Amino acid sequence: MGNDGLTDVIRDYLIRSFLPDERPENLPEELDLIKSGVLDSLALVQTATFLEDLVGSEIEGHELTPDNVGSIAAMAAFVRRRRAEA
Amino acid sequence: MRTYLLSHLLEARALQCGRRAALAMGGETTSYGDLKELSARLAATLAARGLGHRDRIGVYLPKGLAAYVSIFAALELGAAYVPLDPSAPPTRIRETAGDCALKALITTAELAGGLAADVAGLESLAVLVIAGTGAASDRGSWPAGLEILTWEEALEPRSTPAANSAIENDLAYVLYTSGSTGRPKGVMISHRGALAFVDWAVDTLGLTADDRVAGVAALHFDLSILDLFATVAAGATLWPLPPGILLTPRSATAWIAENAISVWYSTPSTLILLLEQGEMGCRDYPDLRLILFAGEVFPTKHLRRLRRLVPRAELYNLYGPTETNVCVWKRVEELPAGDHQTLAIGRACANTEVAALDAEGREAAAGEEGELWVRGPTVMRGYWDDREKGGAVLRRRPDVTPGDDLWFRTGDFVHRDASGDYHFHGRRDHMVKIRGYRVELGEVESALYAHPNVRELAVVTVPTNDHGVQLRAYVVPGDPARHSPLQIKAYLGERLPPYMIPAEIVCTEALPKTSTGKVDRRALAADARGPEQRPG
Repeated sequence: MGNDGLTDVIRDYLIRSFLPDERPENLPEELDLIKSGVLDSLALVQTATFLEDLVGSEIEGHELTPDNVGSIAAMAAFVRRRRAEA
Repeated sequence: MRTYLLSHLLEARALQCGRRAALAMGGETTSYGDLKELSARLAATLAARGLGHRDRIGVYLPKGLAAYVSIFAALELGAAYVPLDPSAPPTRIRETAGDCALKALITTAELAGGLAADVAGLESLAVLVIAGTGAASDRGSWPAGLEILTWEEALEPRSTPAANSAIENDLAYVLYTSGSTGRPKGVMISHRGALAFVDWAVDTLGLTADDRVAGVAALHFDLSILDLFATVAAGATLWPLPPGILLTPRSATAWIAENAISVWYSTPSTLILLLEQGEMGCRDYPDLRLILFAGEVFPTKHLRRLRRLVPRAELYNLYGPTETNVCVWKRVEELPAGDHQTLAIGRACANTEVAALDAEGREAAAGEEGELWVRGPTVMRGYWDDREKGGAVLRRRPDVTPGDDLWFRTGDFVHRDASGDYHFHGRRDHMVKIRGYRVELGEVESALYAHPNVRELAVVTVPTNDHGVQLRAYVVPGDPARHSPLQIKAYLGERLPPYMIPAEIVCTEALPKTSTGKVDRRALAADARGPEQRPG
């Protein structure tokens, strides 16, 4: 886990974009964002662009798997991994 | 041989051009001969287990070889196929499977895993086929009487082929669409209806064996009928869109260019996604000769851009509810002068008659608004097991002469211009289109009303920047301290397909009411159009 504040940045983005009025504590890091209805396909397209900004390079469609983007924790780990590879 | 069943299309191609590629995906192709052979084997396996004429077979699979083999196997048996949305929650699949009494279900190990508990009580189901390489799921959770077959077992060669005693009026498929009372409606389409559409499409669009047709639409969406069957009728090759590719729209535009796709048929929403986020202008599409769209209004601003970026492609605006498939069409020549004007939907297809009728049931004069009524072979047979709902929309025209047949009332309001083209105005009920999918607001509302912390609610549409409209739910919570938009979305996610889940959940203290005490939808709609103003 990092203390880079990434999970908060991602949680803020998700609430701002898809869940206005939601309390941050209701979005734990491990919550399944797809099963819980937070991210549908259109929201994923938008989120991919947001993650590209965090990563600093393009993300390919095959990378948008539940392992990489299925939860806040998964997204944060994915961003850290891609940054480390750069 | 005369072609009067959809399965005859594949039979004819397998005989005439068996080595030609029917399907291309994941770097591999499947020939017409192989597609016919595999579907004949699956049909024989199912026939040996008592499936056949007039049964329903659920196809709960993503687009892919297994799905196409299953569809043609069902048709070859004289059964109807029922495509089930792989992204819909298990409870909804159970509801649909029960509604039309599926006798066989073909799915993947992964999808079946989520379904076992839900299907346990389904008495009609006799056979479950697990497509793909995965082993059959845990035997323990399925009903004892249910026979479970692996894909390998289902495709073993059989000595006795399936007999097909279907006639052209029998059902080829049942497509489920949103129902206003909270229960989806199964639109029943006959072989004759489907073939009338396929013949029209092949003739009008001039499809040939050289075409490479993208398979964009999901199989439970009626746009897929063109990709699936017009492609086979023309002996062309179907290129199913790789799963998930639309999540990165620029990969989708690259895929179109690199695979020399020649025919693309989707909703305007999907095309707008490619235009806005797919970097469509970065490439040329010299092979793309036809772009067809249907399901919703294409905003002129985006259409203009599409024409500029793909100048060689012919554009076709196709109109028609699932109950009729395409019944009115227009080849786009001149675009409307202003961005606020929208394209005409055009004129009736060959072998179809349409009319705009006023409130008294008389044909509306040119320029006057009326409801669009449709008559012809493509019109549905009715809704599955619901004569009442079917009877309400399949009607005799009030001003008929004897011998006239039933017309389908679309519920869409239109006018005919001086040139004879029809123009779409809108609806007077609560059916809306979300990314081309039909959504009855009442169905979303009735799912949401069951939520324990919802006291009152209304679901309305809100315009979006690029994608037409999205759903917004206004909710008066029973206990405001416990209100959670996330929890409401998750609750709906267990009951409705993704496109029916409101993008926004707005908490409010009270809903505006009319003088008669009903929810004032007009006030909510005005609020929804305003810049983030909320009632209460």
